[in-house]
Amino acid sequence: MTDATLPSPAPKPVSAATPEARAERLRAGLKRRYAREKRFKLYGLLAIGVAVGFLLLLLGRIIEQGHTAFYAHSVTVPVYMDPARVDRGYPQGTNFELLVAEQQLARFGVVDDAQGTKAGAMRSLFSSELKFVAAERIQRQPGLIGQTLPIAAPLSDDADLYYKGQISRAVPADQRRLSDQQLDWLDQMKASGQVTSHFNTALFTNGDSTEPELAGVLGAVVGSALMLMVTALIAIPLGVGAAVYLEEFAPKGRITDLIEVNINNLAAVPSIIYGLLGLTLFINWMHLPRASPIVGGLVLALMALPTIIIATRSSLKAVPPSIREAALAMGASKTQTVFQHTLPLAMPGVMTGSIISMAHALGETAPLLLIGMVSFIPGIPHSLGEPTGALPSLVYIWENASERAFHERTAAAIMVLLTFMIIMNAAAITLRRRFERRW
Amino acid sequence: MKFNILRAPDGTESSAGASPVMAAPTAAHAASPVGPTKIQARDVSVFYGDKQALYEVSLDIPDKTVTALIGPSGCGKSTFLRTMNRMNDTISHCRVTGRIEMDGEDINARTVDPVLLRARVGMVFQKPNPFPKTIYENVAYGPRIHGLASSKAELDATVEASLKRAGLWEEVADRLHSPGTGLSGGQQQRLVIARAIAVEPEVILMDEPCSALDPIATAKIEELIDELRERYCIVIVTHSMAQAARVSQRTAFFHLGRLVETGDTEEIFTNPRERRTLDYITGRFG
Amino acid sequence: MNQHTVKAYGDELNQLTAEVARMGGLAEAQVADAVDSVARRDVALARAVVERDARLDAMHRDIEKKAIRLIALRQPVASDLRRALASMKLAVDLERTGDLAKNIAKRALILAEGEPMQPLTRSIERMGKLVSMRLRDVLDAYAAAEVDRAMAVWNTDDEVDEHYNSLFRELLTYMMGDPRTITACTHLLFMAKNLERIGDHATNIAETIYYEITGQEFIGERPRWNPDDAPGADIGPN
Repeated sequence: MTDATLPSPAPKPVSAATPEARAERLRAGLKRRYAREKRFKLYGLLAIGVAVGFLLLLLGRIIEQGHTAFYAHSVTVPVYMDPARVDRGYPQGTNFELLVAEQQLARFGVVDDAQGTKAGAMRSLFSSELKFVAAERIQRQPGLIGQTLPIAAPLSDDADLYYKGQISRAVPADQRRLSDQQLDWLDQMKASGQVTSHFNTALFTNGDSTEPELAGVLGAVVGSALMLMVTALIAIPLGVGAAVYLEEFAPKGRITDLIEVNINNLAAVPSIIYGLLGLTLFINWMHLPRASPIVGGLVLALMALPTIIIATRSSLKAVPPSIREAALAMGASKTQTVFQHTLPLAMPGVMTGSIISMAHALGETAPLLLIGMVSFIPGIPHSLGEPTGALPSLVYIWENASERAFHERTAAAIMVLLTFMIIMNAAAITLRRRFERRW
Repeated sequence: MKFNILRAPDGTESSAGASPVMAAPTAAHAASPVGPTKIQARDVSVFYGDKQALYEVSLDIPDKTVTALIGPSGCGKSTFLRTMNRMNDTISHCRVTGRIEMDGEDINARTVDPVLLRARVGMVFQKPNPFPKTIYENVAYGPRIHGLASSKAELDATVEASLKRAGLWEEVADRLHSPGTGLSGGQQQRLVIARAIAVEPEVILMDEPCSALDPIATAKIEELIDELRERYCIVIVTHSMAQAARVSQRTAFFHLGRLVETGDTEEIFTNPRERRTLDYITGRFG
Repeated sequence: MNQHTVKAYGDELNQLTAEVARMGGLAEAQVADAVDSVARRDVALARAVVERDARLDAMHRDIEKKAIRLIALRQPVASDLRRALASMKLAVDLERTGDLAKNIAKRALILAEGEPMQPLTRSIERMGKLVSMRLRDVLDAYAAAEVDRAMAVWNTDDEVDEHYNSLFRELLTYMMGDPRTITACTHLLFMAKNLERIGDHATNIAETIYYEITGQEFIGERPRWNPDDAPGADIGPN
């Protein structure tokens, strides 16, 4: 009962200190707290700065590399349609390239040697498109044979690069793609006013091509669009339906939990695995056509499904239970409550989730590579069953191409891809803002 | 003359569980100016998983009368209210035992569809929850899904009549197609009441309908309840004893999941039989 | 003032006031009839007054019950609360008034058996008429809810005292003159006392009306008959 020795004096409670001492303590503490807050804000700003810095760096590099792809040079040469060489009945058979090269050499007063190397050198300054343009003119108006026509066609990719300043004389001649003489000729053509620079519509109207000056993204864009259409038509109804079932109708229990865990895991599976799945299941087992939008769409749909399910579920969860209760209390059945009340109210979140997952699917490359979209496919696709390219795989192909001119075009293709993604994400954000409800 | 407002309660306290209430319903009804019995609950218990929330509650709810359920938080009054339109069915792991009859019919029988039951027993919640649709659509929802109106004109008339009976028509007649969520709290609650009565229920259950409203809106709702009781059987859960006193003709006091006392409101608030009731209404609880 | 949002509440308050007004009417009638029965030696009237008193008691209990119900169930505040309380107080005053009137009627029955005593009963009649009028005025003030009229009644409390004192002296003189009249005069004295108490009740009612309408306690000295004004002051009542 009695204490032999008293322990050290118990700490006094805060209220025991004098008001002045307490005020002093508060003031000192306040300074520390404000300092900590300032430091924290600084860290935040630094982090944002670093992130934005990298983003600007990335975008800057891409734009710097790719902006030149948006304009191209064309040349207008007067071509004498030599009746001796132009076949009236079959203009396409005429070797216009040689014809034009020889005429151009003659114009420059250059004498060719026996093997015609100079003509060959001159020829490589013009795009192969030239012959198609000329042949087509003659085909339409055969009466033009014997006249001199101005034919306008793009220049070859190397000539274009020279005009853009990417091939310079400073580099030793054996290390560049154009010889000094070719460069002289190009200067001459430029000086004579035959060369014009204009917006590179070919980039947006043509399909892929081995000739860089003729290569365009349209084929890949249409391929991506077809694939996305398939993905959307499959993934969105399935995903929303599955989420609605899991959230509203499935009995809460072990099995439902198991399904939920598995779906969450699927969202994290590397995309190349889906490519393997597509290869094994759709191409090898179901014998669907390789590299077709249908297969690409199916694979991307499988990839997008878990994300859509998760986004839809959380939108459904966010609908306040008071609305459900009100509907049920009115005598609505479970199904009526879900489809007339809960789902419409969750729609903004569902749409946002769907659009964002579509945006992700647009940019996925690894699965596309495995289902065969790596190969060169010219032309614009017309159906779901024919082999197509897609934007991401186009970037991959162009990056690996040998021609120098593809560098800028790769960056341009990346810019096109990024633009689409920005548009889709912006659409998602706008939609969310517009339809967001304040409860 | 010595006029005791509150008699000291009888020496005997009733043991927990047994309610000296509805052993002889007819005698009690003979004394009170209320209608015939609409809903009869006998030995109703409710379990959430293993936890028991209501212990053998037996209560008669008369028709064309306002019955108030009062008691401290968590005493089971809302749980009991929700058994009457089987809203507890929507909660998983919720089990209801005992018998609840409306007009003599067991509402928990397998042959009874809860969807149809809820067309006869409407509910108004604590926080006004109009659908995020137009005012017209809110009131028309019930008749639509139950197929009660055969033409647009009939539906229009039903909507107008319901809004009039809820005392909201004058305020919204010119903006029937504006969203219901744009109204004030009191108006929203009246809209919800109009929505509930649009299907011509027989019973209206109200779960603390005024607790989210200001005093003026509350007074308007109480006046509305007074008017509605001529047509409907109304059961109202309220944590405001003053409101129960103002609004109801019969009062039931719940405590810890048990029904402690039932009686005419005037008697409960001037001279209750049970000590616990007296303590609760005079604020001597806790 | 606006109506109560909950109409039933407003109705209940009005019913309570109306009930008090009815009880006032009955009490007034009792007083008037009691005095009449003394003046006219009307035995049947006196008996009727005695029997009717039970009704006044019943009305008092009824008003109390209604007021308690109103307070318990409606939780009135401010003016509504004062109205409920005032109606209870008035009911008490009116019930006492009725009892006093019954007492007068009972004594009238006894007087009627004896010799008529005109001048004295005429004095009682005059005092009775004054008291009756004051009672009627104050009840009118209650029904109309007019403070000024109530205060007018309150201010004339001394008139009743004057009557009482003069009657007192008259009766004393009579009793001293003729000892055979002592019994009758005593009864008359009690009647006068009862009438004076009825006058006090009317003044009480005026004070209650003041409190109900203004919400303020009534502070003031009741006008008293000044004892220094007349000879024989030491035998004055107050």
